[in-house]
Amino acid sequence: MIRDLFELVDERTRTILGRLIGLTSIAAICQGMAFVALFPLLSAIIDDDESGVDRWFFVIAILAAVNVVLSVIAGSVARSGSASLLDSLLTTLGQRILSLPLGYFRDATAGRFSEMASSGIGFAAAVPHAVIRPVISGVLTPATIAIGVAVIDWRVGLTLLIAAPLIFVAYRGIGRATGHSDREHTAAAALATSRMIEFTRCQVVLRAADENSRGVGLVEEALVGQYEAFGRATKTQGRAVARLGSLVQAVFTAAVVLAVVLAITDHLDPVTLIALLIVVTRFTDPIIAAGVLSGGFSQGRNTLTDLKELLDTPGLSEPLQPVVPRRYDIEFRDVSAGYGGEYVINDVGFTIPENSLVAIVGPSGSGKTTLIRLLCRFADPDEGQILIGGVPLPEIGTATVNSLVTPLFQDTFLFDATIEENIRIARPNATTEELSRAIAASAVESMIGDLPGAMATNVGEGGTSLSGGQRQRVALARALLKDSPVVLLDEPTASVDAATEAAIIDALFALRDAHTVVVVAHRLHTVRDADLIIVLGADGRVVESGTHDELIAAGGLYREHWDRRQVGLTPTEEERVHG
Amino acid sequence: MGTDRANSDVGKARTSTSVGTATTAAVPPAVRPADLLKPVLGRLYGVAMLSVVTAVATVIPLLCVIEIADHAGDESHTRLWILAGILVIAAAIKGAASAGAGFYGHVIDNDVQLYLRSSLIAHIRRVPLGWIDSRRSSGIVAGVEGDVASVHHMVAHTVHETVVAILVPVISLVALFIVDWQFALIAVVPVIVTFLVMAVMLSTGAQKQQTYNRANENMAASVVEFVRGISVMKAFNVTAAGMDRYADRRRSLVEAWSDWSRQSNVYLALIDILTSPVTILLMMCAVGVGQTREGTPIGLIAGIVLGLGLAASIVAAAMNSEALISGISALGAIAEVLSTEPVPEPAEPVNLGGAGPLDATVVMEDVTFGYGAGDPVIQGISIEFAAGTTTALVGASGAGKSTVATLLARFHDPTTGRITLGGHDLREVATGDLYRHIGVVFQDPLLLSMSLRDNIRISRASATDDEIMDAARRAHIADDILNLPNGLDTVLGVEVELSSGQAQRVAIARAFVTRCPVLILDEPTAYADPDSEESVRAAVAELSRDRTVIMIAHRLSTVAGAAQIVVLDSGRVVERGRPEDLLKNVEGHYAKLWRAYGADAEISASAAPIDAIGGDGDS
Repeated sequence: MIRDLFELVDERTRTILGRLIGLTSIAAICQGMAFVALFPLLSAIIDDDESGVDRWFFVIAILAAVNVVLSVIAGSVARSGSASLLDSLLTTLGQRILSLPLGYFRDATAGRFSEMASSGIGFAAAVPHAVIRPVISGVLTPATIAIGVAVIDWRVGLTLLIAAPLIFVAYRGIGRATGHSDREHTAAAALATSRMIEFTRCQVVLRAADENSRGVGLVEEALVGQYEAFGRATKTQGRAVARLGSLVQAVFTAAVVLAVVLAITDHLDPVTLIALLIVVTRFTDPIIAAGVLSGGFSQGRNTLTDLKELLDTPGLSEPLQPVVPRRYDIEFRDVSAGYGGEYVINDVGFTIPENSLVAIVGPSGSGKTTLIRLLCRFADPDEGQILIGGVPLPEIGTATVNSLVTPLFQDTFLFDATIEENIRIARPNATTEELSRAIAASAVESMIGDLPGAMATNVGEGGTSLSGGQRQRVALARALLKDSPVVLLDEPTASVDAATEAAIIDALFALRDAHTVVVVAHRLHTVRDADLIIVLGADGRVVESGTHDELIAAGGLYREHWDRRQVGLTPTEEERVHG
Repeated sequence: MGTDRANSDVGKARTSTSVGTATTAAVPPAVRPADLLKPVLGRLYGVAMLSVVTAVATVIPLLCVIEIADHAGDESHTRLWILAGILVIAAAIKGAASAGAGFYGHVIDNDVQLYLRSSLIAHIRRVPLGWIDSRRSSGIVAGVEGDVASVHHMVAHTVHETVVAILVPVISLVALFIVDWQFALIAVVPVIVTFLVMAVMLSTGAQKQQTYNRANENMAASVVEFVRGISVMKAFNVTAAGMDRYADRRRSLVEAWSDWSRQSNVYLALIDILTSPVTILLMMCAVGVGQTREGTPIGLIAGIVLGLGLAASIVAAAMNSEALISGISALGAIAEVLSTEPVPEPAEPVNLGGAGPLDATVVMEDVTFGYGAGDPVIQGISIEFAAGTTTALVGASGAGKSTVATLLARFHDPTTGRITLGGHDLREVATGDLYRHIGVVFQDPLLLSMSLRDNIRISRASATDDEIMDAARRAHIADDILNLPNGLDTVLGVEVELSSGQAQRVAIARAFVTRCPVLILDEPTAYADPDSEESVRAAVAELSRDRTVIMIAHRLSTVAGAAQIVVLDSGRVVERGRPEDLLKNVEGHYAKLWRAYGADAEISASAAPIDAIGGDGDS
């Protein structure tokens, strides 16, 4: 964990931590030496050697002073180390958010990162004073004492020194033993929790349930499973912890008994015996103190592991010299892509001519949204290539792709600002006329009337003060204002009524004079007049493509869906869209 | 004895399976935190006993060491042998007692955990559905789990550790006092001063800590915003602004932290000095050296052996007391949850299936309802839902449609007025009976992670596969089921993930099997994936035949086929009648809605589906 920490932080923090380790080490050794110095002091006291007493008391006083001064400084360094750690880790997180490929971000990512930033990194920041200092003291002080004791009497010293590897092995043993049963318990606990949540959520249904139905006993089964797994884990872990505890005890006992035996058999003088006994008694304190803290490690450690994983996540390859395409036709060549092991789109190939409007249709899960995401380079495809104007996206570079291609997804995000400000980020120095055109084309104009603040209405965090349909229109206006050569739209009319839908569709078709427009559509009637319709099948392959008339004539999947849709459409809807 | 009682209580909670047919008329008394530990109290005392043994057995070896030192120069070695022997035995006892206390504590803790969770489950069975509905189920469980974890810590670790951490210093200090009071003072005074310093530090630092906590919350929010907005920021090249905002929050957080810790610096440095073993060692040596005595400086030796570990021990006790406090407050929180008043069950419930075919008319008679002590959400609602007909509830968000629907499903009882089914007040019907007659299909289809078969026949375990497939056909989900490799045996959530529309249709198939005469729907097509919309529409239409259906409508296209439309506004009925009649009233509410929204747009100010009816926001 300390290693991970050093890898993750900046130079400044590393220096501070290094200084902390140095200071703590010296302080720990001083503490050990102070205890060892008890030997000569006690001898001097017993033998009534006044100058000896003075001398050794002075030595202990110096060691104590050094230890205290260094401890105080180390405390202060630890705290500034924590602040620096906090800053450094948060900066790293921020940089990663910025540089990770957009495809990395899934639904739960925001929550996960937020958790990392607030509690995870907080725990990690406590590491300097909660982990580094006690662990170093817990190792160096006893080591110093053990060496000192060995110098005074090698037999007793040896006993103490042997303890170290033994304790280490026992400590690791705990980790290994609990590893498996812990995993088992964690799984059983997770199941029990999810069953309890399910049970609570589904009460309406469960209250109607038949006593004999399966659903009734599920939660109790899971709870008993958890109970039994925990019982097993306790036994395993209990044994391992007991081993460690008794080992530490045994070392202490062995050392004491050995000293006594040696004294009794006249191999050790009484004074040395006394001093040895005292020192051995306090030998185990720092070890136990360090052990007690081991619980707190795990939370900080998990965060550091997560952060490391973030750092190690590969970014997209960016070109040194981005090539800017001159044309804006789009080509997909044998593209396959997916998440996890599965491909969502398979072997997809098609060409979209410049200045046209192309529709992509297909059932849910056929990969339509994935195509859009690939086209704005959220990620690179697993196989195949995507080209704009004949240039593959990796050669264009993500920054340039971002400026050339504007996506509009179904989950829109607006900033906590006014409607006008949100639209204007697309082009801050757009003229009023350009803004008006975007507002009109996206049907934002028609919705302004209902809002008290009109364009100055604040949309709230994420835009949640507006309805889904309203947010979409604002996002559309924003996309239109940017006026990039390629515009991608994922179901742009999902949440609006038929009249608004017609207006938006008209505007999109008007775009194609000077833009390449790709629309993912579910309502087939909206894209009937597209220059090209690409039909994806449930397996993510291109099933057929062509104009509406060609596809109707072909009598395939498109025709099937078209016929079914016609049944659902009310006459007024049809009228509105097609006049 | 304590064991038996604990086992039987746990066993009771473990096997209780009363499912909604409970007929207890009396409301059980509120649960007190102490009650929760009653089953294991005897055994906890056992752990405490072991802890006492551990503490004593920890100090005895130390006393032996002092004695050995005192008699190190003796001629006869018998004493030394005896002392060494006692030391070894005491150390062994300590090890055994400590391990035993730890292990035993965990065993007791396991029983307590099961008991607490089982109690929660048993209680959830009886609380008003409205109580569950107003909280996310994941939140309820997470809250209790967090509390259970605190209790776990308290039972399994803290009890033992606290007893030891208090007794060892106390015994050591007493022994030390007996040997030489000066060293006892040196050992204990720094500890007392440390506590005083800590108290001062905590009280003066409280405000800075609050500032830090707030900065921490802001940081977390900032991260969320940054992540959610990053793709938009990149698309419109405004990442710089986003980064700046993030950096701002970051700087504020680091500053708040530094500010807080800087203030404590002086106090912490002081504590460092006071509790450093070397400092105490030095002070003891000073006193020891100053004492004029012959022979072995027993006082100094006793001081070092007994007194040096004091500070660490007492600090450990303080930390444990924190865990103890949070364990106790966790028990309080759990007790509070378990004290939520359950739904009053009728002492002598009406048997709906009993006297001949049920008249499936539902009537709301002058119903008023509000949450808690607040303003009523709906007022004076009187509606008759004729048997076998469909009524659509229409209105803007906040108008009260969802409240009406949830009252009809007895999520709450009305504040005034009553709701009847076939003439019987809903409150007179036992819960199980009620929900076999009133089916509910809300946004969350509420399917359990078990086989499709078990899901569909959950209300009638005796339903045959034929009946199930027949219901599936009528729910337009039969083909989907047949296409699955394991068909009805397929386990949901494990072997397959259904689309929202498919899940809705499974819920509809379930309603068919239940044969409930009344149905309350939250327009299912609104939540279905686009491919399923048609099938869901057809399934709902089929399910609505010959049933009394009350449907919350989100889109006016759904409403057109209803026999009765009820328009709600601000908690009151403002219009009702047949759709064609209402449209004729051009200035009426219904007609206005048509003009504003058309057939397809969602009638709500926010896009989120009706406030969490029957489901989590994150399902």
